[in-house]
Amino acid sequence: MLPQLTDNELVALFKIEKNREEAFTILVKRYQEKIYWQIRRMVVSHQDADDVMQNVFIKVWNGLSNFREDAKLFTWLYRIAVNESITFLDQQKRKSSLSLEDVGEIVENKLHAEKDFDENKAVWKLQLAIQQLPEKQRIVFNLRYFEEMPYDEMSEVLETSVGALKASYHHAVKKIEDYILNH
Amino acid sequence: MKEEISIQEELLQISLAVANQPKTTPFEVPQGYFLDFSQKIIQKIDNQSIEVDEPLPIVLEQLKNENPFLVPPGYFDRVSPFKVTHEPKVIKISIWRKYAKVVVAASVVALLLLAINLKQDQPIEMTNDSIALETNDLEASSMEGFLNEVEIPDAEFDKAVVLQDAETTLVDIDLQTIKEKLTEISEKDISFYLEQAG
Repeated sequence: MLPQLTDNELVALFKIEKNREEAFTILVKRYQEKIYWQIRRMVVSHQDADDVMQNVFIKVWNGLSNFREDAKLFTWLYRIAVNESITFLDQQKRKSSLSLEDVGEIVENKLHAEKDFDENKAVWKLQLAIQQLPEKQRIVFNLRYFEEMPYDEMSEVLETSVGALKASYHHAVKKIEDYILNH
Repeated sequence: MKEEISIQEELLQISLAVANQPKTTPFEVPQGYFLDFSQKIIQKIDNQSIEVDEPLPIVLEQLKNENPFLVPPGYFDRVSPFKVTHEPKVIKISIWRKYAKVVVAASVVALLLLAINLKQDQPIEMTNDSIALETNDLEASSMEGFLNEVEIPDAEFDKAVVLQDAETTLVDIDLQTIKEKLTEISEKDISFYLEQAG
């Protein structure tokens, strides 16, 4: 019965101390896959995605009591996931002492290390093409192409205007097309 | 549904090649990952809160209030930050030291006048009246400028005071008095003054 609760009801339930764990478990189960794939497409390896997932949900646990009910829970979760993924990639960049442009290179190396990787297969080639994109375009493309997220929702997640997001998506698709046709 | 169609249409308009790409993911997830994740994260959160609230081991808890360091008996009765244990040292200033600034200022002014007179090839008149007159003719700013270049080492008096003293007392001191005063100063006083000034 409880899993039928709306997001707002879930948040309200979480705010009651004795129901906290139960409400949180439902919330995790409800959104874990969507959040996971968003993160996984950003950081590529499962181990890294798992680390980021844990960070995301610990932040959710710590911040849910102060969550405003007029905001969308899903949008808030995505925003945390995007920010944590970016933070994780920045940490990777610092550890490897590479420049900002080389973040794509780190992720590309991880792609090559993935099980069954075959750059001749369309699915992997598309992933390679995505990793060539600048960070913001990569996020926008993933949210639009894979998650099919409406622009207005994406605008809330990324705190960017719809016009700018449309432009980013357009550029991203053109760059991916160019990569696919030339590789 | 309408949004999904529009997303695909949008993609077709931008690039046919990308629109025809498979949307499947090539990534694999370990089996059962999503079944266990919520439990794993709850456990991690519980462990974190235990770490924060964890009580001290009994041994440390017992030792917490024991202090191994000894203080001499009655130490805190004797030493109080508000108790003055000795009289502050009073430094007596000799008459020479009291007027030293005036003498130095007068000497400087006299040297200045001497230099000006030499430059103008005029006979030097070193009477009390002439010194006083010449001093009054000098603008305070000129004297201050000169004193800024010549360091008079004493922070107790600022230059304004020195200038003011010089203007009011110069008339009472002639060269003879200066000479007499200089002979009265013992070597001990001079070395003490130099130590203080240095």
